[in-house]
Amino acid sequence: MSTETAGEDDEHFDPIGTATLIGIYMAIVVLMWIFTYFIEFLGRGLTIVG
Amino acid sequence: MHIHRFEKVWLALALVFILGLISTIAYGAVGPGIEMIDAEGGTVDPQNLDETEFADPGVEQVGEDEYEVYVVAKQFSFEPGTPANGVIRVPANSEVTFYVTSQDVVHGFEVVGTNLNTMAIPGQVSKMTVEFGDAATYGIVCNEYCGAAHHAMEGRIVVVPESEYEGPGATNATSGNETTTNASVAAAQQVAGSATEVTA
Repeated sequence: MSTETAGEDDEHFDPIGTATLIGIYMAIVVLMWIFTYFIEFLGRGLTIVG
Repeated sequence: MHIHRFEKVWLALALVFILGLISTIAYGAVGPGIEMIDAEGGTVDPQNLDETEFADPGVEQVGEDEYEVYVVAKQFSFEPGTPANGVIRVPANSEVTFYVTSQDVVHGFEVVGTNLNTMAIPGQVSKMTVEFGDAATYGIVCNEYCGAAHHAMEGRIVVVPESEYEGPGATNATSGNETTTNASVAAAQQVAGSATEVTA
């Protein structure tokens, strides 16, 4: 099987399940970053400003 | 080169995510004005703190609502900070700059539950400015292992209402916990002492 043929086969391969799973992971990471930075870090009262 | 469209989407999302991380840090610096502690505090000779601004550590008023606090960390107390040495008293709604150094070994200066946290390093001055809001009491702990009584090395910052603030000199306010703290430090030092004897 040549590389070209493999490339053509690719077009018919849509791993929707994997993409959805990675999308969910991505959303979790984004939400955790927002929580960690804006709520846990910035919400801790005294912060060094100078 | 052929790239699957899912991969293109993934690459784009990953780039947006990285830009998002950088943006939040930039926002932290510009919005809330978060600063990092750097070498700005300068250096001192830890053997001769008596000849520096740390000779008489404590709170100084430098502006209308601006104060400076010089703190010497040592085995096993903060001066001022630990009740036996006088707690740190500042008025509410003030801007306070801390200068922290150590006279013996590496200590930590962490105001519990806040982002005010630095190492106290012999010879190095950690300078940090914070804005205190309402009246409150904060605990200070040493978070770098510094010896046998490390666990008992603690202090307090008391933010008093502006109307009750009696000036930077009034740092000798005591609290009910003082006896306990002194007792535990003394006990720990005794343990340290006997340990040394055994070694000797």
